[in-house]
Amino acid sequence: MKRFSDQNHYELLELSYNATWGEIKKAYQLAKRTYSQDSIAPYSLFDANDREMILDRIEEAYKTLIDGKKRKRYNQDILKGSPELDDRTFKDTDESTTGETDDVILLPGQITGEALKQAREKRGVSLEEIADLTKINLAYLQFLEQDHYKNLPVRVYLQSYLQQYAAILKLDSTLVVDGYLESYQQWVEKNELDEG
Amino acid sequence: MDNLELFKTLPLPGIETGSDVIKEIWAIGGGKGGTGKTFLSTNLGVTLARAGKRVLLVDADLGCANLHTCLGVNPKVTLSDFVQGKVNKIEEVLVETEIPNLALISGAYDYLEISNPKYTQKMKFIRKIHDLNFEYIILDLGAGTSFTNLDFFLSANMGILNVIPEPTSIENTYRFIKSTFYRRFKKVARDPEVKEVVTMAMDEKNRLGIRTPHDLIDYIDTIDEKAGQMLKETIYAFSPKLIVNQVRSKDDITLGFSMRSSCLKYFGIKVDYVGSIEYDDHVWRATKKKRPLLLEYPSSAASRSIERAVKNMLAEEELKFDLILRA
Ligand SMILES: Nc1ncnc2c1ncn2[C@@H]1O[C@H](COP(=O)(O)OP(=O)(O)OP(=O)(O)O)[C@@H](O)[C@H]1O
Ligand SMILES: [Mg+2]
Repeated sequence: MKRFSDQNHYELLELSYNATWGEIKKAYQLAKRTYSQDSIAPYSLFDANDREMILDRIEEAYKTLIDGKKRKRYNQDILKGSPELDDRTFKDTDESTTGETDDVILLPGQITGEALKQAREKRGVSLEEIADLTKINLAYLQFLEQDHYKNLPVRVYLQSYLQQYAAILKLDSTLVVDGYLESYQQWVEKNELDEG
Repeated sequence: MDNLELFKTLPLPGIETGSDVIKEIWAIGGGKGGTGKTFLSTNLGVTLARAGKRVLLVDADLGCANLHTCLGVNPKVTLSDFVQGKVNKIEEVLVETEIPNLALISGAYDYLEISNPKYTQKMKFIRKIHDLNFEYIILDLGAGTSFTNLDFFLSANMGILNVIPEPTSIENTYRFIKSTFYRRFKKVARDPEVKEVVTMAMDEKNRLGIRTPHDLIDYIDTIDEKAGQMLKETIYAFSPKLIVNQVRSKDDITLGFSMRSSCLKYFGIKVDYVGSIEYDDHVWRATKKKRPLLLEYPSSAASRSIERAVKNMLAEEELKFDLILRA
């Protein structure tokens, strides 16, 4: 959970990282309407000042994401580690393409936090570094790796965190996001049964 | 059609916990009075019963019961008979309705004094209700954020918020959400200092300057990190459904999506927007006849919307914003 002022463009518009042009347009339309001064939906939660701030950020997010070039640069900005970290992760990735290393291999299908942790350790990146770069709360990153599903934030944010985690470690983000969410979903369903 | 006999012959819970039977407890709340909670509860119940589920409707509006009227029944026994010990088993206050598979526990319309029962007593009868052998138990809550309402709402595995497109109802719905998880949090927090902070935070103009749940979490994190974490868990575990009732325009339908976004940004909770229901004259016509809308006017716009909402809830789905744009 982040305050809206800490949310990145995707989180702010409640979009996934692979959102299409059409989805971005729609999300923008809805967000603008939701936080306009005459909208009753945020009544009693966000005052005129808050709304103005949210609207400014929505405008900025939209302008960036809807422009292919700007979006690419922005993605690189938020999903990239530091140059120093890049050196470390890059070497591994490079070797893995030749297929002759013991580099992390993530297979399609369910992915656990433990698998992510192993991948991260192989890359030699600490959780603290990821937390620093992404501004994701360190506790969440720990929960993520411990499969502590109960403590993880709602799905849209979780997805965004996974994406950033994968990007920093130069892991296949689709595999990571889909695989992890599959395990997560299974837990959600099981949990619902247990409660019943 | 003797429902009551059928219910009586069902195995008693505890003796045989039919593990293959999934039991769902739905609670309908949302703050403001007169938004359609009772109307909605009744018709959700009818929809599920007509789909072949064994359903129990419970009038949990202890001070102002009227669910029986929406169903056109005149119950001889009510929840208060059980609470006051006039009958020993909660099964004895089950009342049949004209709809097969649909039973009712009527509210205590003649006993105002139980509208604010003691916590342990209340939790006892809430548990007894939960233990009854039905597939779906629907709790129709009263207006407002009384502890009784909040505790019933928190006891359910699906909380449904009923809102109408008016600032007053929206404001009360948010207040209800806030009160609900602050209530839960106070119940799970151990540290008296933490409890105290939560109590203070409930007052919007508190001297600690805590305005939003984010502020509260940050503040509690500084006194007790573990408690802060617990508050986060409480918030994430809380994911109510939203139904916008009495809609008259496309804008009214969109309101549900906007409220969902506002809840996510402000509370950090994910609300599922499962349906909107038209403002429909058939509703009051059915109400006048003391008949459920779904039986009296099954093809009315509001009936169909209710069926769609139920379908969404059963399938764990939400309304799609695309559909509204195209409509
Ligand atoms: N979709 C609708 N269209 C038209 N009228 C409606 C609709 N929904 C509810 N109503 C009317 O609104 C009135 C209040 O409904 P209801 O008694 O269900 O509200 P409630 O939320 O249970 O109120 P309370 O908080 O007092 O228990 C009723 O007369 C009902 O017929
Ligand atoms: Mg009512």
